[in-house]
Amino acid sequence: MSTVEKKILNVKINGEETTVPEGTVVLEVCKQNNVEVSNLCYNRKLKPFAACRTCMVETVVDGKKELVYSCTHPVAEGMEIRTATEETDRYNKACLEMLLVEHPLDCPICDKSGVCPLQDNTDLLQLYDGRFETQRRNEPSIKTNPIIEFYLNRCIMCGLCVRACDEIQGAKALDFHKRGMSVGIGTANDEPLDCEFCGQCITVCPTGALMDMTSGARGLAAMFTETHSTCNFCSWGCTVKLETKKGEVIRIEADENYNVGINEGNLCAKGRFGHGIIHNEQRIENPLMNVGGDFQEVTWDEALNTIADRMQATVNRSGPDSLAAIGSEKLTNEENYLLQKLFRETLGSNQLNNLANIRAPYLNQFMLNCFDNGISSKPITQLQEADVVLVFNSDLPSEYPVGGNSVRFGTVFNNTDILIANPRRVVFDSEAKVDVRMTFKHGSDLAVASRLAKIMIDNGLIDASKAKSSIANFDELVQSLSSYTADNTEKLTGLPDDVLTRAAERFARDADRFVLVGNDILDTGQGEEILNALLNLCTLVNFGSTGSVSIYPPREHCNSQGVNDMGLEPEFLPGYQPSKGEKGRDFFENCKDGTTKFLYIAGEDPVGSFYRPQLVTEALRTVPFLIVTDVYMTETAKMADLILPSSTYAEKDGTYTNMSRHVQAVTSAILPQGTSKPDFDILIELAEALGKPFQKSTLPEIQQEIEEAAPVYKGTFPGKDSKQWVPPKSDKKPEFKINPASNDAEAAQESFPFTLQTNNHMFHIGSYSQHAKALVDIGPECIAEIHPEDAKGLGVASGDQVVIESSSSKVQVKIKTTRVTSQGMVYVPKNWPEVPVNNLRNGEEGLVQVKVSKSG
Amino acid sequence: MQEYKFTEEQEKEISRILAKYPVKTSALLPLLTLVQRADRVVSPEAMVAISKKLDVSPAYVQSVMSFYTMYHTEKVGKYMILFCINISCQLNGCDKLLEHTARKLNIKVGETTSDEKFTLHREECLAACTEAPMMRVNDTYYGNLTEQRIDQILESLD
Ligand code: SF4
Ligand code: SF4
Ligand code: SF4
Ligand code: FES
Ligand code: FES
Repeated sequence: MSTVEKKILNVKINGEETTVPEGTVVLEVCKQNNVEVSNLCYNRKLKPFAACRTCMVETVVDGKKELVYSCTHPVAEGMEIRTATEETDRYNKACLEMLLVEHPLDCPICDKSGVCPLQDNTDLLQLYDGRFETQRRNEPSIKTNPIIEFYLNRCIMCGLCVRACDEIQGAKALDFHKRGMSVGIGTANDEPLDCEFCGQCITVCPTGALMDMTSGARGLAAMFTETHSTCNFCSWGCTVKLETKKGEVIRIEADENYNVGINEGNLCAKGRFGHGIIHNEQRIENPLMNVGGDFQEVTWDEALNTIADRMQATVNRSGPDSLAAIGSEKLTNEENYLLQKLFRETLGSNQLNNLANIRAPYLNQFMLNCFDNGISSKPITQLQEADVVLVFNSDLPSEYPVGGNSVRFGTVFNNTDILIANPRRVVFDSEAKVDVRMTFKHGSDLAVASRLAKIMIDNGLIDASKAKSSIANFDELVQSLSSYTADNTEKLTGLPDDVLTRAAERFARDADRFVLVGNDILDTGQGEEILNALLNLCTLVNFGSTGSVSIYPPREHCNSQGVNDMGLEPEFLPGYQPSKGEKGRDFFENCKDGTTKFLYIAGEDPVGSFYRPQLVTEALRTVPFLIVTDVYMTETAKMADLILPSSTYAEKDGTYTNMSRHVQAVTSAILPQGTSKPDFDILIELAEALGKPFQKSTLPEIQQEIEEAAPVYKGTFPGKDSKQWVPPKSDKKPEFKINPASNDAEAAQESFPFTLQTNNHMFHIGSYSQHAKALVDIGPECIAEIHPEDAKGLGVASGDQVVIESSSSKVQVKIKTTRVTSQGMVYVPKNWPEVPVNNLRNGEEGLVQVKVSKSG
Repeated sequence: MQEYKFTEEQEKEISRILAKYPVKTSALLPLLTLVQRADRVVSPEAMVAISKKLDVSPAYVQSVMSFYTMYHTEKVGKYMILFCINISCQLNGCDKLLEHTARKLNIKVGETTSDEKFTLHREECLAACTEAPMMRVNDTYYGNLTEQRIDQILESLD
């Protein structure tokens, strides 16, 4: 809830009394009270527009009767609303009738048929016999981009696509063309659509004018079977609707109904068009055994028995802790739970981890610190009601695209302030009246966060005495911030102090605040310190101001949160109960030096994705026995002794926990493809092969077990209603996390004058998206970015091939110049195997210095 | 796409135009007019340049531009003849005069002469019915037309 209170008004709909917040439009009240009113151009996520004129109702206020368009007319105290009167029906019918004059009515071959608002409204108004001769438009379909087909003969000019593209997506790729009978929708100059490919325009279109070309079938969508599940790409955790026909996933749609998931019917390109990973010829078909360098197909029985024998033998020979496992940020909670159960309980090993935690064990600690400081953070569904959102080092449209949708909604309907701190001038178009951009020098994140805290204290923006009385080490914090004077900070960050002051003021005022932190902070080598500084910032407002504050640790993949919740890390058992087991040292070092004799990697590709690929490769080469379960033959799988083909998210059941701790159902829409098995089944069968079967083996039983092991999960299953798990009240005293005096940002070295920035591309994440044809079609190649001034200096231009070289390695990549990427940095998305940017890192944390030169 | 360059003169004019409006977007029609007058066409490049000046999307510039008939995506002649064909002019014989003009210019209505001198279009009422039949050539109205008068007018334009 926003801190701005809305008045509650009393109204009557067709005689029934109800209450609504001030500012609500009449149509919305009707919808929420299940009173049907015809309408075609309304969407609750968009600003009032009134194009179709089919939503007229009668209102009476103070005895005065009016006929109003319900989608734009706000309610008033004591208003009586009457729908479907003889008079309103007459008007609404007349308008709809006009729309139908031109409509092709080719329903049998239309993607919307059966789920079509135009059909529904025609039926609702019982408009069966038209009075006019129909004059169909008959223009060819436009298929100039790989994803969205424009068949404008069906367009009714409601403008929903134009407005969704602008208001929800901020992309403004579409607009109206021409007028009168020749009116249409299109791009500038009718060029092929080249946009964010979120597909929101397809979802909101009330007709079949915009169609999803990735769909495996045309027409009669009503005949598809719908399964609600959770997206398997980023950690935002959108609810997707998998549409299947004859046992195959045909397409993915969003569900705009009320209270479905956390995404209000928004999806991004990956979530919507990434279904190409499901039915795919490149999937691993059978269990594969590495025999002298060649993979040979084996049966599941052979494979599982081999693994079981090897596990037992290794325990006997080298002790339980010589067996280790990597849980997966892409497996369900239940699968991860079983994996840790197999290792901890059945085998007795505590050598469990996940890739994010191996790199940044401080992420979980940060979350727990927040809880200790009374910041348990609200459900992310309330982000759109925020008063202020601080986006810290995240390129929202690429990292959490649907998060961006919620923030934009807030700027339109709740006056949300936006504060964006990023080393790049990331594009984020919204209607925010306050939009503070802190484009800081690459690597100075810590100084930005620290200075914001110092300004809040020094300028009296928060009640320091209150904060001081609640938190023992307040003075220590003040002391530790002393070096972040306006001048020093400007030197470090390049930001004038008035910009930071403005941001601090907006953040410190009475407000509901949300802080979204990007995974990019991990690349700075100061992730822990930056999170400490952000924790302190949030703690200051939590104790020294009013309103609320929510902050979530950066999580990358669909279950990066859950894998930690399930105890796939040496420090914690499920539910963050401390583990008493052997903690071990660095996970991959352990493999490299021969301590680990048996490694089980469930659905991860550390060779391809970990920030230290060289170390991982050496480690996996050394480990005597390596098991990999995965859908595709990854670089990691290629190194395995045994590969087990696992199933995709569309073929299994369980839950993912998103970055804001919402536990959400993953529901199978189809049977496991080929001989693949969900990791859940693999683990159950492996325990059997070991001769120590789990006592419980069904999903509900395991979920119950998880609730007992991790009490914070109580009541969150089966995950259909997207409940957020809430930590118990902490009995620890809140405290600031004091950073050691830092040696901030080193100057660039002359021989390697650029700093490297890498993160996920808008259309790709993880090791699967490159197998989805649609995502490859729209994001075919890796394109690095550099500032035009730097490009001039280097004598390179957009489209050139360049070589990017660090002290340890080099990559070749195409380049584009853009002012989004600041001077002195080069940005390379990390999702293309042929451009292995992680190799440039030399196995070290921290910003990588590189040089760039024209290739050839 | 090549970058569109406004001349120095145009840049000055644009600053003057922008100063008139509290909201930048309002200057869209004047800027489109500026470009149409100078280039006799609004090219895709110019649309992008205008969108940048006004902080709107190129798609929006296209939408406004394509709504109005006075902006052209194909280059028109030096003289744009808009021939009124609405009721008053119709009653006063504009059809025959339009036909005459087309024949004289050796083009069809809607076309441009090969020397790019004239473009001939039909237009709805130009609000000069008292002088019907009439036509508009660029910014000048010519009323009480006859075939001879049209010939004279066309010859007088160079
Ligand atoms: S796919 Fe998204 S960005 Fe592209 S036109 Fe549709 S709404 Fe706009
Ligand atoms: S394409 Fe669809 S959403 Fe867009 S204006 Fe036409 S009918 Fe409306
Ligand atoms: S934002 Fe993330 S969770 Fe949502 S559809 Fe996109 S990839 Fe999936
Ligand atoms: S829904 Fe109200 S005018 Fe279209
Ligand atoms: S009808 Fe021709 S000017 Fe009005």
